[in-house]
Amino acid sequence: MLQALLHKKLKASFVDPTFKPSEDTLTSSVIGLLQYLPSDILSSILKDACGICNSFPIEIGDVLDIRFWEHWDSNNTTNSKLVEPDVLIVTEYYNIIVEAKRSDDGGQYREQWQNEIIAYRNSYSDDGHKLVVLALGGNISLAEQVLKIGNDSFTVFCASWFNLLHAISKQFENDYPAHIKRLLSDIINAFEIHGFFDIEWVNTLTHCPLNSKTVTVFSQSGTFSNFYQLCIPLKTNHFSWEI
Amino acid sequence: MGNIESIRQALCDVRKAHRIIYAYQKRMMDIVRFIGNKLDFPFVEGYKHFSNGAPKKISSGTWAWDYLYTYLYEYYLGTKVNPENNIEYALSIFQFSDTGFFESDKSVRTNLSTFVEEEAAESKFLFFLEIKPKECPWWWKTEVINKKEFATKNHTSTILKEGESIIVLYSVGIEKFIDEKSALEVLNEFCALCSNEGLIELTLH
Repeated sequence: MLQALLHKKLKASFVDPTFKPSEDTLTSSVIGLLQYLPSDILSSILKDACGICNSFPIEIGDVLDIRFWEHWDSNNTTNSKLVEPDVLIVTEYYNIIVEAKRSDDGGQYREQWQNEIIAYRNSYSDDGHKLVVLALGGNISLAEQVLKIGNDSFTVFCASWFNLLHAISKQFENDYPAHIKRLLSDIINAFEIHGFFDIEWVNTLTHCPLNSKTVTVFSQSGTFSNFYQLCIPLKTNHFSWEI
Repeated sequence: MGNIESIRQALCDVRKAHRIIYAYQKRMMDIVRFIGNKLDFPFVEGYKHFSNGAPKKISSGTWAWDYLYTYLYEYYLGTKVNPENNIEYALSIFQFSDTGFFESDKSVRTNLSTFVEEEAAESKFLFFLEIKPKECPWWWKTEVINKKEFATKNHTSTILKEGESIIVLYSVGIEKFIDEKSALEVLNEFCALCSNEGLIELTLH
């Protein structure tokens, strides 16, 4: 949220003055808080969010910087003015472009990833880090993809917000210090403001005894209608029960 | 007064039942979304079965079941194509909250006393997977899930051949989705069934 505020992305979200969650407030709230986690926890979460058999690096190195909504040079892209990825995560070994969508329902497309890779290379010199893309939300398929641009190949990792939230929730199983758990809790709260809730399994469904005679009480035609008499129909097509 | 008291208790049970159904249905939707994500299907659409949906205008043909979507509900997860781009497959998951109607040959939908006892029935998911060559039409006759041989608690798995389509029907008790580890075991078993029969290679994402 703070990032969205700093980058003036909240105009459409405070209306009348009701808060309207948006793609930018979701990105800002979630990644804006993820950035404060230790690097090993962050990389574990991102890897888990990308699925079971993905090649997302286990070790991305220390997170050096996280930048939101930068404006990159659009030369050789299909954008006319600029290219604006959602987040750039700079680590010791990787530069991770994050392209986020508001929901998990669709919206990601290859051309946009391509534009962002080209624009990144326009705007930054080669620092020896491996460049990858994380497509977060809006994926029709969660299988990782490979983009070829010239002679180079780039991996696009696809994750859903649902999987990212679940990956974060699972971190509570670890024995972390209280301040880490508070951060994780805030991230989960940020998800909930935006309508994302973690999975509840059947093991948390509690047994609540019901009286086995209840169905009989309602099924017997005499029982209920002893107290609720059909009144004389009004001059409509409706029947009414008079109490 | 005794009757009033039994009505009050019954209505208290109604309130409890509604809250139980809410808690239960939230978990069902969570599980289906988890399955969709793990099997990498694109979306979830829902369809009511067992009766019509609740109409705007209530008539003599409107059943109470029309208001109870959770009794038998279909979650359609969409279609996918294999990596070789020559086979299409589609998956629906049917939520049988109560197989009790289907367990008896003499059941009447609007007469609960003809259903088997709750303790003798089951709550289950039925996976309906159709696999076909890409150029062939879909068979997709999901009404087959109403057949007693597939709808009851005793069903485990069946493979049907319908024209060029293969239909995999796979039943699993909802209690198997007790936690993520168990859920993944179920999905691995389902994937193994499809693979061992030489039907399709599904991998968990």
